[in-house]
Order: sequence, then C-alpha cells, then structure tokens
Amino acid sequence: MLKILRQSVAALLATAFALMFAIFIAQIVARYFFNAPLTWTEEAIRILYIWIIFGSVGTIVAWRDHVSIDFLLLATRGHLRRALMLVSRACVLVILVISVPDTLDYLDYMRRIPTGVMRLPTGLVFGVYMVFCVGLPLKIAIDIRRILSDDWDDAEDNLL
Amino acid sequence: MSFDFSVALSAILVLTLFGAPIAIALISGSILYLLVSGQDIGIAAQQVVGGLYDSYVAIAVPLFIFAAKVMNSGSITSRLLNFALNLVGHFRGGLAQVNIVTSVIFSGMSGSAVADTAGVGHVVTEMMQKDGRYPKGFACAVTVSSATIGPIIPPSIPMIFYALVSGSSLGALFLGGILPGLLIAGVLMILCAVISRRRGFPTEERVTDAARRAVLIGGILPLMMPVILLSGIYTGIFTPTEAAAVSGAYALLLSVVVYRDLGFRELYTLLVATARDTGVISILIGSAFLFNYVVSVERIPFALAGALQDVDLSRTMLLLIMNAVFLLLGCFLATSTIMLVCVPIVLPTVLAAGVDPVHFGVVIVINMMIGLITPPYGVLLFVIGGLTRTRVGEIVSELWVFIAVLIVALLIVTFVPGLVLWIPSMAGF
Repeated sequence: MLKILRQSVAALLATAFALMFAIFIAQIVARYFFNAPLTWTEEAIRILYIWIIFGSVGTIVAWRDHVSIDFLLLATRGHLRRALMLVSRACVLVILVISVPDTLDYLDYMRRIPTGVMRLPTGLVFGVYMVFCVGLPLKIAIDIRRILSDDWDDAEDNLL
Repeated sequence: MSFDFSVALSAILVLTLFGAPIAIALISGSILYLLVSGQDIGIAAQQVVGGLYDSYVAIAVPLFIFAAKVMNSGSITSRLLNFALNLVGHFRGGLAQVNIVTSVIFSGMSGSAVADTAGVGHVVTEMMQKDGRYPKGFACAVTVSSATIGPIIPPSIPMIFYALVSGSSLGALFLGGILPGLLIAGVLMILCAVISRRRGFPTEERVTDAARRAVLIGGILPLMMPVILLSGIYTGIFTPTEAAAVSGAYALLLSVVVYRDLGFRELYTLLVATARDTGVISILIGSAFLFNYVVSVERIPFALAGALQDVDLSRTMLLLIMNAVFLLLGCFLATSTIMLVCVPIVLPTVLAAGVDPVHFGVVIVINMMIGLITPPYGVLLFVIGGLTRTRVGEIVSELWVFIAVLIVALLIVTFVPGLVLWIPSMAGF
C-alpha cells in the first residue's frame, strides 16, 4: 500500500517536473520565435517549483537523502546510535507539529491575497507547505517506530 | 547574541551533530527561535515557502541537475571523452591531460562538481587506472582537482546560491567565472605535464587521420552546448535561468532524438531522481532564507561588519582572512551550507571594505571548490574513491600538490579582480 502510494507520488512529481520544464521551453520559444511573450508562464513555473519541493520533501525524500553531517552517527554503534537517531527525529517532530496552527493561520491569511497573474489564492498555492509540515512528522513517526522495534538493524542505517 | 538566538543555535548544532538533515535542523532551530522570542511561527512558512516562490533564479538549480543527469546517462560523455583523447591524448601523461580537458568541456555544460566527478570524471579515472597505467591515487587526484573547474566555469550551481543570498547578477557571476576557470585548467595542465615527465607516465597512440576526423566531428554537437549557453547569456538572448532549461532541452535533443540512447523508462527514472534532488537542494535554500531572517533580526552580520571596521583591516588582509576562514569551513561543511548560511553573515563586512560582490562571489566559489577536495570532509574524494574503489588516503597522498597549486590560483584570482570582472564589464554588467 505504502509502496503504491510512493510510486504514485513519484509519478506525479516526475510529471510536475516535466511540465515545469516544458513550460520553460514554451516561454522561450513563444518569446524569441513568435515574438509573443506568455504572461502566465513564470507564475506557473514558480507554483510548480514549490509544489515539487514540498511535495517531494514531505513524501519521497528520505531522511538520509538530505545533506547532513554524519560523522558522529557513523562513529557510534548500538544503543547510543539509536538514541542519537531518536532524539534528533523526536525534536524535529515536536517542533514541526507545534508550528502547524500558526502556519495554518498564515496560509488562511494568504488565501485572501491573489497571485499576480493567474489570480489564484496565494494561500492555496503555498498550501503545499502543509505537505511538508504534516508529511515529514508522519514519516518521522514511522521512522521512530522502526528504530524502536526489536528487529531494528544497526547495519541497515549505516548509510545515514 | 540574545538568549533566544543562543537557544536556536544550540538546537541547530545539536540536531545537526545528531545526524538530522541540515535543512531540517535550520528550520527547526529557527522555529524554536520564533517560539522562544514570542514571534508568530507563521513567519517560518512565510520565509521558507514565500522565499522560494520569490526566488526565480533558484529554479535554475534543478534544471541544471536535470541537464547533467541526461548528459551522464546517454553517450554524450563518451563522445566528448573521445574528442579530448584525440586532442591531447598523445602528450606525455596524455590521459591526465584528457581528464582536465574533458573537465573543462563538461564545466561549460554542467554546474556541479559532483556530477562531473561521478559522470565523465569516473570514466576517465577508470581508463587511467586500467592495467596500472597510472597510480590509482594520482588518477583520482587529477579527476577531483579538475572537477573543481565545473562550477567555476559557467553554468554553476554554487554561483546560483551566491546570487540568491547576495542579490548579485547571476549573468555577471557566470561570465566572471570563465577566465579564472581557464586559469585553473592551465595551471593543472602544467602541473600534470611536469609530474608526467618526471614520473615517465605513458602517452596514447595516435589514430589515423580519418578516424581522428570522425571523432572530432562526433564531438561537435555536444560541444555546441557551452557555445549556445555562453553566447545566449553574453548577448542577453536568454536569462541564466532560461539557459538552464535550454541546456536541458539540448541534452534531451541529443540523447533522445540524435543519438537515440535514452529511452522513456530511463527518462522517467531521471525525472523522478531530479524531482527528489529538487526537494533536497531547494529545502536547503528555503531553510537558509529562514535562518538568514533570524540572523538579520539579531543584526549579526552588521555587528560583525562594525567589529571588523573597528579593527581597521586592509582590504588585502580582509580577503586573506576570508579565504583562510572559508578554506577551513570547506574542510568540514558542504558547499551549499556555507554558501547559503555563512556567506550572508560576512557579506556586509566584505562589501563595506569595497570588494566587488561579483569578484567576491567567484573567489568564494573557487574557495569552496578547494573545500570539496580537502580532507576530512572532501565530498569529491568520497565520490571518486567509492566509484573506483580507491582508498581516500591513497588519493590524498597524491593530492596535496594539486591543492597547493589550486590555492596559488585562488590567490591570483583574489588579488587580480580584473580576471573576474573583465568579461562581465565587456558584456555590459
């Protein structure tokens, strides 16, 4: 189930990137070959860009895919390593969850402000931030459960 | 430094040390700062998502990553390699020279030193190491030191980061990197020639004139890419961000239509990987926007500028200190982190001393590239060491002389600003 969800999200993100790329090319072609600049393209590109970012970080990007400093983790083993992994994840989870109400307030406020060209509610466009704000804690919670489980394998996390 | 900021900074340091992604640690620490200082936490979303939405230039990063992935997956790499082999292979230590020349050609197409190392750099290194023709460590040392040229000659992902935090023109930065990049290639080629002569490294066989012509013609289409990109930016036909899309489109055209070596399945895999990389790199940019907001609320960059003005450092001394500090930071931190988080803190100080922002940007990029190959945290060493199964220690023992030469080149660029600023000024920047 989780695998199908991941694959679907990956397909959506790949499509979004291809679309963003195509709009870029359409923008250049329209301006230089047809002398007819498109007004909506830049805004569409910006929207797709932020949707790809928060859409991916909240879903398919794993903790270990990120840029991180790992020498302390690599130097530790067993319980200590498990403790370090749990502490960092738990702190991030709590802080992100705390930020949810104020973030919703901000997005609600931004709903009243339309985007420059396509007149979409900015709060809706920026709403993808919630995928990050909620998706990441959910992923972390699953991760924490895995690390706490009895069959957690030290070697499996060697690439962290 | 206020108490609130100390709390945030400690949280960021602890989280990072405990292995949390730097971007996530920066966002979490900054949210903690907003919480402790009693500010609206919604500011975090405003800075991260709003900041990224407003940064049109940042979109060039994933587009250049996509272009590099397309080039590395098709036959463009091998065509360019053959081209370079025919051009300089017959010199003493020919493959070392080929390694540098392919790095220069690739640097005009890709903006990432890691992509250059893992792509064409990996292929040349294996060629050098085959049958023990060159010492394994030496082959890797040439690859990583020449891969540093990648982000110095445009396009350049670190320059996009710098443009984002400094507000400098990306076009000017791109054009400013050309001469310093060629200078570095020149000094590396001289160094390799000297070492090859002294250690008696082999030459490559000359091929027949007909075969040579075929290879040179085969390299023409991929070689047009840097020409299109640079002339487009130089003449203002397209913006640097659009140049990123053009490079992706051209790479696709060659790989899918002309050479037909990239199928739908591979393309789909590349798109998913690029979307994932877009998230990883852009969230770091967004987190830096938020952290830089916190840092500027605390007025830290200005406090630093004031303190250094009181010390009354000369411009030369200041640039020397900056180079030393950033070289040291580069040994431990990733380029993206230094560019996005540390550079904005010192920028007001440097600008107040009258240093040109474009010149400083190029100097810092060169500096960061040296950081990529200096132990203990030299990413390129791990990449090439892992790919070619060469011990990092073996690479490092051959690498010191290359690092020394690169530092000399860095000092030349630092104290001869004309090397950077001449081409941008010709283009009207």
